[in-house]
Amino acid sequence: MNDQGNARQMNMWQYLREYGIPAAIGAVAATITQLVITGLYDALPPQLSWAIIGGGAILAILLSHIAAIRAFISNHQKLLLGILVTLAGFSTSLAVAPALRGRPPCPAPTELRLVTAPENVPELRARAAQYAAANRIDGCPSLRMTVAAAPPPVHLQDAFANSWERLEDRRGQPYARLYDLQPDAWVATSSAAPAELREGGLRTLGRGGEDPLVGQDQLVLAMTERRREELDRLMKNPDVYPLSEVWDTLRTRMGMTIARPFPETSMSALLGTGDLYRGLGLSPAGYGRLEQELVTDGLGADTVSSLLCAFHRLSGDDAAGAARTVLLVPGHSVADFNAGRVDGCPGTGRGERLIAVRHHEFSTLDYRYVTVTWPGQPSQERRALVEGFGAWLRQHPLFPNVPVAGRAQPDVKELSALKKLLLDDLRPQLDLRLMVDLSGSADRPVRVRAAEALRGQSRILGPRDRVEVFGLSSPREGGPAELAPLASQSTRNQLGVAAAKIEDALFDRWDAPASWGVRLLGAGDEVVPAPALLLTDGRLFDNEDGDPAAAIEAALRETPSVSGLYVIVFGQNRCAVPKLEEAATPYACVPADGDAAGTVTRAVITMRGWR
Amino acid sequence: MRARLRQALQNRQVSWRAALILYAVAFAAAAALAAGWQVVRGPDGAPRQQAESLAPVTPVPVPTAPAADCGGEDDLVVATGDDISTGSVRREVFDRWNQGKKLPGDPPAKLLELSGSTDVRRAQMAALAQAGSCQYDVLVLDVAWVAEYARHGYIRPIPLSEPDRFLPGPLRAAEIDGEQYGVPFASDAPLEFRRTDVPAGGYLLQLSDREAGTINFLEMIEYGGGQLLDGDDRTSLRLGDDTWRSLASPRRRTFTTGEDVRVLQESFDLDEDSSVAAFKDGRIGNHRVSYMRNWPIVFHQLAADPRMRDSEGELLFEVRAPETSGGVLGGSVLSLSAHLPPDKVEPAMRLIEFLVSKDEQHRLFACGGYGPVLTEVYDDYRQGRGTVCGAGRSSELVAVTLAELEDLAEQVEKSVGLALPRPKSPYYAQFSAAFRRCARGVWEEKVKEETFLSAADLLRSALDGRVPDGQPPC
Repeated sequence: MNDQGNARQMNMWQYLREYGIPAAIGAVAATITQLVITGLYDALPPQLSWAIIGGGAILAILLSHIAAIRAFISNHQKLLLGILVTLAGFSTSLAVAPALRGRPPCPAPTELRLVTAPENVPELRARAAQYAAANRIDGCPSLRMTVAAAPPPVHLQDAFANSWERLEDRRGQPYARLYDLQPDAWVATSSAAPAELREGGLRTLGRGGEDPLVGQDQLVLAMTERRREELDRLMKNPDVYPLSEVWDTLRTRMGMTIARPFPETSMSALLGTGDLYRGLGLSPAGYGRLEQELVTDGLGADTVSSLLCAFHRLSGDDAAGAARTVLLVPGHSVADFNAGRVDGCPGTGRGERLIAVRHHEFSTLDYRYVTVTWPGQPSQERRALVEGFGAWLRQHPLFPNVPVAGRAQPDVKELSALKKLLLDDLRPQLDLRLMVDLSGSADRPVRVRAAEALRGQSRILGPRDRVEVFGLSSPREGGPAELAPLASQSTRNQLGVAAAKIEDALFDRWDAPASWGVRLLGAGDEVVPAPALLLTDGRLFDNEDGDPAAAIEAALRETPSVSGLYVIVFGQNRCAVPKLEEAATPYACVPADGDAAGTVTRAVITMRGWR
Repeated sequence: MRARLRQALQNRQVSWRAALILYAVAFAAAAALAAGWQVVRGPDGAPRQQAESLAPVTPVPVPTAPAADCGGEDDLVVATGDDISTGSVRREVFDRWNQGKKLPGDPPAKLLELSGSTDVRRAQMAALAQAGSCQYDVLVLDVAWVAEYARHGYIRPIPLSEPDRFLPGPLRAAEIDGEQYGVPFASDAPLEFRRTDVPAGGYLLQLSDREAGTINFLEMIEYGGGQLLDGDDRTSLRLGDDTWRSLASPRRRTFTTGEDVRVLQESFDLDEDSSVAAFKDGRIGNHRVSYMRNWPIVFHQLAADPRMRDSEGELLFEVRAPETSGGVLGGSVLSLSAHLPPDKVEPAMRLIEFLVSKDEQHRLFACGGYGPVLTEVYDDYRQGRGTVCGAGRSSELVAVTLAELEDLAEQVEKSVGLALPRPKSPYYAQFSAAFRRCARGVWEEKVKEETFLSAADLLRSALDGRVPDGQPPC
């Protein structure tokens, strides 16, 4: 037994000596080689690392067992040692040289461009950053992703069809403007939106098939915490009541107004307005009244983000006013507001908080990832990366924690019908009288920006709307006001001509009072009252006789054919006459922000109801 | 010995020497295999980090634009940002070029305004270069992006006649690896605006989460006596106690009076435009505003506002350059797209020469407030030969006067001379975002000294284009 055992031990020792030791030597050699050559062991895929180690072990066993090789080794030891020393030196130089050179520079990350509705920008930006961080090679990001706001819904068709250039009648001028970032992919708020564009003939969106669903949300009513508690006392769980009853409670019993962005410029507002029409059980005759009410109460906001920002300002300036306001916004926007994540509006999250009230009759928002193909940008590799992000986003959707239990999204037909109803049928015809301040001081701040802003209204004006342009000025300092026609009643297709007239006008006269502009407009033969829009650098308020507010108020009172005055001030950040306390006629004055066209759009939508 | 080895081998005995030889053979074989792997995979090696279970995507190389795709365009397209000057004076310059200054056979220039956001402009131009597009011929680049565009092959070296005409700082800022990649178009450097009618108010900076924030935090460190960036390319980093102290200080020494003034906390949310609005108001929140750091172009916006002049028409503010270096050099350069078709190179160069000609630089400064890039223009203002905008227009006096322009030109030249470029790294955008995140954290009192100083590796990696593993310290 002992002899047999010894023999077995001898056999095992022999096996170990004959195969184990060479195998171990080979494996160690291969391992060290990898460490030396790659510098970082895990720079090679694990499968390949194990294959190299195994290969080294097998090679060593073979070398130690093939008699011819053994004999060759024993007969040419010096030659072999020389070759091996050379190989070892070569290998070492391979390992050392990169270390001496330092790490190689990162290659240029691929730039991907994404757009979505303004209220979704912070979330999409966070997701893009997460994806970029996960896609690194040796610490180098493979992608750099930029996220920006998409144009308003009424401009999307033009933007996609015209290589993202604004479609503006420039009368041959060599200028063009983009709608900001031209996207490789667009995260749409509704599946119906890209479908509608495709039905309109666009062939550059998506690659056929359904656009990936990359997130869901639901429209909610948002109000202050105190008002939410008050509502709670009146109806414990609003979701179990019909929407019309919730609406009635908010409006009648709690004295609240509902604010939403303009549906021309916000897809979520468009869908939400459709929900209200349906949920309130209105007759077509009631649509117009509700729409006018929503425009009046809407805080003049064109996007969800600007609505939240306006609410934030309101809560600072007029807490009671904010407490009377209910916002119709996507659910995630409430969380963004409370967390201070509203793009372009610092300070939210530090003041009044909002509470979301959900109701099943509001639409769900199904966010779709839509890739875009642009002429002249042929890189297929970039396109593959764009689609790769879409696939990832589908697995890591936007707004994952927002509860969704609403009604389904409208399809293309419903969306088209809703747009036609809201944007064409219900909007009153607008006969706008536009006064441009032709004083010398208005030349630099007003001329080009006013013309550009007017060009940008072609999709905001309807087919029946008309714009008449006048120049307001005085021939001498303190002299009489004169109102000179610059462009006769122009349709939306003639805005380029009207804009050119503004650009070509001589801004070489003196300020004339705004109140006289109103009176001169009223001296015409118009029988139907129409609103007036004044574009100025703001200095003309100094030329009023006495108190400027009183003078303008009196002029509006005595000029019934001017149904309201909207003043946009360029080059200053304030209005000398921000509001008229006791005027029966509507009046507004706002400074033009960075987006002058957007400021004029808000004015146009607001003034439609001034009849 | 040979006989003993032979005997050992015959007896299948593995001697130390044989083991050594076997080891070396295996080593060499494995080395060749591993080296071969590196050759196959390129110098970056194989993936280390993975996107969950997936291999990370690979960046796309910049393709060559097919010549066939670049024909047919009748215009010379100049991609730029929004014209932020009062009155869009750049458009007037392009009008003059198209209406008589260009050669008859040259294509007309078309000004394409991409965006008001510098980040969006950078991304848009870079994406088109990577897509192989030749839609943009001439790029108006923010000087901070030149290194990235040059090293990544989006723009081409540009021949420059008479380089001595230009201010040296802006010219050097567009020189990458010994080659000129851009012609200075507008020079920018920080100026201090002080309201003479609002005493004892605070100081406004622009510390919002945008590029302006990065610039202001960098200046805060340098003007406060600390240091962060070093070296010719400004790509060496040095974080010390002085860096922390100057960044965390809530006060600033003014250029005009030398006083220590409190930096208003509201600056944290401000960008260039919103700080101008607050400066005009002379107040933000409950605080008075006496000082503001901003760019030269703001001068015209302020001077055109009647609230900023007294009843005699005199300015209610003054403007001063810093006395020491530490300001960040801004401005823009004109570059040629790497995909510019050969037949457009000469017309593009002629357009660029026109845009940086003395007359146009005078006009851009006098009417728009764009900082001139030619030394001769500054000499003219110094010697009383400067021009004003709109001379001949008859009505209200609103144009900036010659005396005001002379003073502004002196201050701009001085500030540009003292200003230092941002790091000449192709990954500057990455550095900017990482640095700004940490600096804003300091101002929010979320980042302590130890944490901030430990971010040195993060910032160095960012300048190399790398993002370290794990959670960043700030």
